[in-house]
Amino acid sequence: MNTSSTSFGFDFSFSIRDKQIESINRMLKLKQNENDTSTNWQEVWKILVFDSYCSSIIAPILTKGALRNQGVTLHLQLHSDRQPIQDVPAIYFVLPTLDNIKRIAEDCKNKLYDNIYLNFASRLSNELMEELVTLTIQSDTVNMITKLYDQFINFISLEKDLFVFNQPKNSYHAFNDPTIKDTVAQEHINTVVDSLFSVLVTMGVIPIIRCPKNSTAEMISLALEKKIAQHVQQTGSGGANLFSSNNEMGSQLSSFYRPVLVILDRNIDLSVMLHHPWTYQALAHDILSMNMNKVKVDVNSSGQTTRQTYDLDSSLDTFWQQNSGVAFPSVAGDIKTHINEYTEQTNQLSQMTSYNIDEIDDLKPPKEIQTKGLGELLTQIRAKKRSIDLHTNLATALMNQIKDRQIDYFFAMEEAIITRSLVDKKELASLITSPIQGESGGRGTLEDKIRLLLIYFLSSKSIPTSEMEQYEDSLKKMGADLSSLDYFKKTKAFNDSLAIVNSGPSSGAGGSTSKTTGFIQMITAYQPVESFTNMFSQGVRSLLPKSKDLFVTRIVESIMDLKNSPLESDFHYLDPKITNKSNIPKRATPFKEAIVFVVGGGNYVEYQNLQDFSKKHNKKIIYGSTELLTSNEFLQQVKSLKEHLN
Amino acid sequence: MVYKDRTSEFSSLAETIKRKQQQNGVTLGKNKIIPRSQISTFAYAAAKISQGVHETSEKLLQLTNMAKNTDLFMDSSTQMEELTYVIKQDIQSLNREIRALESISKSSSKANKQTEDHSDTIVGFLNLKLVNATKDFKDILEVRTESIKQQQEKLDSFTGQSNSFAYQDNTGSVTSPKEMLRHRSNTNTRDDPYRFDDYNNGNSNNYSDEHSILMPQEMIATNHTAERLRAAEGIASTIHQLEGIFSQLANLVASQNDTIERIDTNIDNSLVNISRGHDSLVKTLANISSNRGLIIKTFLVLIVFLVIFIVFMA
Repeated sequence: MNTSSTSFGFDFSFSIRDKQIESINRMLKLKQNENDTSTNWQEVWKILVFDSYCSSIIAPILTKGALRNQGVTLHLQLHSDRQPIQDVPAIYFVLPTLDNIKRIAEDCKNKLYDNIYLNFASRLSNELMEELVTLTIQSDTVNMITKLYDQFINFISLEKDLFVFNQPKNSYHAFNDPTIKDTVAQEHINTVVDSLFSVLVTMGVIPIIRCPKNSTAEMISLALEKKIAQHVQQTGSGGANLFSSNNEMGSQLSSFYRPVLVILDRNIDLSVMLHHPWTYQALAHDILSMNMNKVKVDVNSSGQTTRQTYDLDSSLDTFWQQNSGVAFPSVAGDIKTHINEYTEQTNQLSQMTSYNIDEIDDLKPPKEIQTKGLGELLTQIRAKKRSIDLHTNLATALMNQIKDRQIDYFFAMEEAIITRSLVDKKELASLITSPIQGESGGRGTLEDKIRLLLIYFLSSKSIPTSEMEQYEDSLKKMGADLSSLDYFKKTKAFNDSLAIVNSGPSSGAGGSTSKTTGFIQMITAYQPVESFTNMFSQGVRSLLPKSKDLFVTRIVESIMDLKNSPLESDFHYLDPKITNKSNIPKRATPFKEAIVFVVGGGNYVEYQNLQDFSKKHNKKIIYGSTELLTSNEFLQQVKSLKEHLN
Repeated sequence: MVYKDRTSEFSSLAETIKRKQQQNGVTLGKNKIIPRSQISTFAYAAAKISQGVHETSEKLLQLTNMAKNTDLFMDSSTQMEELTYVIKQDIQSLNREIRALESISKSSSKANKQTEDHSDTIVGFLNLKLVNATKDFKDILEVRTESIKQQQEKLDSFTGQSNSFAYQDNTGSVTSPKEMLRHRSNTNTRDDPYRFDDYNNGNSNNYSDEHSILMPQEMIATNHTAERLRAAEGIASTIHQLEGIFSQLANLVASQNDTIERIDTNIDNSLVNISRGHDSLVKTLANISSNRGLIIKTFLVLIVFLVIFIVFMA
């Protein structure tokens, strides 16, 4: 509707990344009031100082070049050795912590920069502000601090619809450790609430909150609701609060289009954390441990192996954008078509150049046009070459791992277990009990086997003890540490109750998971995609995952479409805007937008599953989590939990 | 409104605390206002150049609008020639100023490395801006030659075949500077100063050849075409002069190529270094502790022998 007219107000792009970039750019402009365009060009050069967390906020969304275009000449770490620079303002972008405050006061004392613009990534508490004032008064440098802002951007947006907090560290452990001190637990909750509040402020929405009862998610939701309600009350309904957008129209619309915020606990579905992924982005994360949109790949060129770091930015890399959620085998096909395009273009280029040489003496008009295109073509080709190199290397690295570890078999087996289609017991036993990769007849690494066993254990209602023991014994013989299994055994009672609910709708879904055909379908779905450097003829099956919704997705669907299914029967319905808690009017129309947040770690499989769902049903879903965990990281956290229990 | 300005809160808090401390008998040094340090020549020059580049690009915009105007009866060629001349002068002087700025930043005794980085980035950034402006300028000149050609065609259709001979040669002469333009735009995007220079040399030769052919044509042509020719010539010579600036700048721009780098690359590297340092520290610790064990053992053996000696010999 009015997307273009409101540049800073409420608009309909439901993209957390764009909004965050907007906020940061405004921060870097030094003039927070966008109406003030007086000395527009008189560019002020400036220095950006950030702490490590804030650098991880900026890193995935703004490159050095983008910063430079904003006039930032240098970017420096707060806690590093910095030297005085004359005639330049410094923008500080830091978390409000005591350490940082002390360091800032020290900088003032040493008169490193002319004037200082302080930007805190979340609210600076009154005590810390007092501390800062006292310290700067002591050194008589209060005047150096020109401006002080609370920015509400203490979260990391990796994609336009994906964000993480990366704090507290080891979040699954942090939120499930029974031995943890109350104060520490409260601190963790506060951190998450703070960041969630920032997400909502940045998005400019006050959502309706849904969360399950009796969980960490509940505590977070209640705290968040209180925080929003307090804020709205304090500023008064008429006043400008953080959520109100700048134009009237926008604020009216934003109150009309309210999204739903679904806060969930990781324990609601653990098997997805252990599942072997099969889509491009998720594989890059799980196998090559992609972190903050960066992936390190060993590239083997002419006998020498070098380690390359690639930056995967979906806003710049169209191939990545199109294929991140696609099953791996078809990605390989796409790479091939890209290579074909590339060779075609190079041919075209060589034709053009040869033409030039032949007829260089004839100054005919057609030749001009071709020479003009040459430059553009060259840049195009160069960009394409870089993209192809990147994805070929990435895909090859993934391919090698998949082949070595037989991840395709693990994936197929796990898929069959989770969807409760036919489980080939012989194959399962073979996958678990066969020796590990590298030995003769080896299949998968020890972790792969443990993951499979855990999924089998978590997803099946009853497993004969003898069968379980047999698997455990053989894994122990291989030297596996099964403490994670013990942990899950203890929490199994909880999961069992879920599993019953879980099985309800999935069997109701009918056709898609009909019992006998499932696994066979998957085998016959083997389509030898025109192999890309003959990869798939070398024994990796090109499985295509069946369209199935994960547990989290089913919950979200039920909440968004107001289905009132048993899945969400014991969920809270919180509305921060309404003060009278006894009578909350429930929403009658389905939600178009949702923010899904998982406490205790999420992964790309879940993210992509939600995105697939939202595309199919024409909805918008933003997925967030405390951190994105690979299966191995998750198992590590579970292991350390087990150690704490003992 | 996704931020909160708390500057006023901060300063009022500062006032209250100051007053409190004074009441408590803590006498602070008089709140001196920090003298605004004299803006260095460097910062001043940089701001001035940045202003200059901005003004030039505004003029360029004006020129673009004029050049696009191909109306035969609204000929603004004299204005355009003037403007072209002014812009050319601007770009040349800006280029000189940037060189001067660079020498300031190099000659002035550097306080520290970070200041140096800071000024280097500014110089680089200004260079980039100027290159872009120059490129725009060149594109406009290209459009201009195009419109001259179109006007000529129109004129021909009105005046009949009278100028056909002149026209033919005219198009020939018009294409030649354009050729050079195209080559330059290609080479420029490639950021390759060396190849760029080669092209330049080749082209300037071409250009002078054409130039000599042009001279007699001018005399044959009618008044109007002569004017046109002069315009084309003027453009060609402007382009020629721009070449010099380009080759100077191309070198510097190449060094600005790290724009797609992420800010945390260095951090990554330092992380690796830190972990390596940690490893070697651990190794050293292991070494030392193993030595310590050995020393203790030796002393124990010695003491045992000593005891035996004392007990049995004494």
